[in-house]
Amino acid sequence: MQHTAPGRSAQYTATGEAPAASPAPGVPDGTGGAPTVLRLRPPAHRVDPRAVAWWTWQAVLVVLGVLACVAGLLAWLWRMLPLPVSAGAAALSVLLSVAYVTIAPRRRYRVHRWETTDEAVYTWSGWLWQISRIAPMSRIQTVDTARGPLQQMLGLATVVVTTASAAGPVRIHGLDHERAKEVAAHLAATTQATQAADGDAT
Amino acid sequence: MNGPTHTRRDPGTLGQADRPEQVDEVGQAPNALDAAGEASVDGEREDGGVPWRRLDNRLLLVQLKWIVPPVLSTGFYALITLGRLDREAYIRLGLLAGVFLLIMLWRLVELLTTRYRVAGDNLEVRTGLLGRRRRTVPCDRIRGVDLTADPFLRVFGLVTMKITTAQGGGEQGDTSLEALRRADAEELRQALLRRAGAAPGATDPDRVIARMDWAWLRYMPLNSWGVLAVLVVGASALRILDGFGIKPERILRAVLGFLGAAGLWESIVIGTLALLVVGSVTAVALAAEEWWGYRLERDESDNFAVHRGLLTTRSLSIDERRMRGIEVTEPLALRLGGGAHVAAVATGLQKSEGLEVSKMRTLSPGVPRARAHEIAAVVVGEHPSPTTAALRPHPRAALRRRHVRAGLTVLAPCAVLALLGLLLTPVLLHIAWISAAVLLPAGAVFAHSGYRALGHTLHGRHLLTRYGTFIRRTVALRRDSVIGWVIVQSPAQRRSGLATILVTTAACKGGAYPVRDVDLAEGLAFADEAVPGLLAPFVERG
Repeated sequence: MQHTAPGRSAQYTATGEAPAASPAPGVPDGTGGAPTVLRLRPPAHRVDPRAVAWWTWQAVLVVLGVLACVAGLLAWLWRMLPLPVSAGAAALSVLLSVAYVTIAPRRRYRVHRWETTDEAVYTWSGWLWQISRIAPMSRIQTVDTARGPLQQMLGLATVVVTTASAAGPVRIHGLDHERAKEVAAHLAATTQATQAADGDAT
Repeated sequence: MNGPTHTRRDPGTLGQADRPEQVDEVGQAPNALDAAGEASVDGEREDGGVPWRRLDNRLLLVQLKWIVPPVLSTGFYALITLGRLDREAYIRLGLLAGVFLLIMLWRLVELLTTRYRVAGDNLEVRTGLLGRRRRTVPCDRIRGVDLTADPFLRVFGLVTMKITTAQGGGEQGDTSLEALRRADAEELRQALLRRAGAAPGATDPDRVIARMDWAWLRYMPLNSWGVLAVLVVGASALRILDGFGIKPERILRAVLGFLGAAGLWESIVIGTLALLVVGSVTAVALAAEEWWGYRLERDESDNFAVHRGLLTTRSLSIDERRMRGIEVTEPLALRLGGGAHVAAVATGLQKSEGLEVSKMRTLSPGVPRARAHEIAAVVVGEHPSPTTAALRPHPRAALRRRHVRAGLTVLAPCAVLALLGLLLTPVLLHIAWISAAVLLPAGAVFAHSGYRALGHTLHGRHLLTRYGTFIRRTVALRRDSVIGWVIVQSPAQRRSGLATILVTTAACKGGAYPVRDVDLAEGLAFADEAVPGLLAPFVERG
């Protein structure tokens, strides 16, 4: 390895950047004394319970598409495959589909959470891959609400928060429509206030 | 040649920069009148004093280049058929010529109707005969002004200017002005960059950061582009010949016969060797063309400028205020040869039509690794370079993950092959176990190398992450350019307490630089300390 500089320190603070700016009161700064283990705490709010219905409908649509493809493929290979193989493949895809429709939305509801403070937006999302996102207010570029046909049907909306990064926006899915509007308005107002001093790092 | 700094003052260029700018003076005049209480005029009239400028008329000659392909293909075909052209060939060639003539006409109208000017703080460009398009680019949105000249333009002393704007500056993409006189282009470029806010700072005597050293030629065969280029060109040539009724097999057989190959195995071995040799030579030739006369310097406006190119010359510049760090890139072959590239980590490089972002960012050809770190140090202005900082290794679980992934990647196709072998023919079975026996150790080696690449740390005002099995990247990103964190955990990562932390920033094409498979708690501590205060409200300790 080419990187074998002497003085590899166990702490990042070896570089002289003081961590003093870390504000959270009553929280040890993690750099001195006994080693502390850091965990992300869950964001304060769950999404609207109707989101389960929304995700279920979405899952149903996806599953119907996949099943149609599988059915087409099996019909095409009907003569070439032995009957048990076809039947097994069909049964397996139906089983997986049912599992996906029943499990994924509920699991999403357990995982998805969100919170906004005066400094940042903080979300949890995903079901298998679980994703936590933090975007500071000072770097937010736009705040929108978006509603697809299914969300409109259920009275839900998604808050979309974009920053200058190309990595994609931070989304808060499945909020009550009115609540989403409030959140978006609050975010927009806070963003304006914080950005008077600071740029968006483009 | 290899020295870190060389002074090179070009009296001509400096003189130009010192000369007061004509456009500027005219541009100020109407504003002064306005201030004096002159009757207000509409937007069109307001900057009316600035004359529109045309492109150089020599573009008429340059556009004759579109005649080259049909002429060449006709000549080539005539040569191959010894002048016996049938009716079908005439139709084909006629169509080809027609298409290229149309392109030429369209480009000519476009270019002859193009006018540009710098009015006030905007660059204005208008184009078009029937459908007039007019574009106004505010100078403070300009992120880079690049000059390129292909051989046709160079013959006439012309260049093409490409103006990159900030992301979100408009979905039409970049603005480009084709066929400017070189002197005009230099002047316009200085004017634009000066208005873009880059104050012409004190001229640094050590402006040149690096220039071409032909000892670096040894790194140039170490990329796959040569072989790829030979394959692509060869395949398309065969296809075209096939279109003209000349069978590809005959040519292949003739070539192999010429090389002295007889049997199947001999043909494969000799063919592969020939491909590698021709590919390496092509790679060297392509790289030499690309990096001929390479010079990395700080120009008068304190931008980083890369000048390079033999046939097509390029001058790419990146505004210093857009720089957010530096990356040392080591593609596999180059790394094994002990070489590395240097690339800029900068905002505003996200989109570009003519040139891929990866090429715009590249600040150096393949150079010795130590030299790459030296260049990085000069560019970020920190000695030693942050990219040489000692990195914290990631947990062994990350190595396990890589071994599992490599094993599955090899075994899954082999299992399918074996299954088919059981059903159909034992030959497939043998292929399956032989490839597994060969590929599994290779996978293990890659897994290990991928694990050793992993590392992260904080170093002064930069945060560092290193990752990548095939292309190893060491990224030093300024901590103040972090615009958020994304922490991803797959089910497997959750079981082993790992996470991938994405450092989101505007200074990355993909939007984020990853810290892959870091211990979750350690990664959170790293993120918390890199940007104090951002993560702190959302973590628990204990």
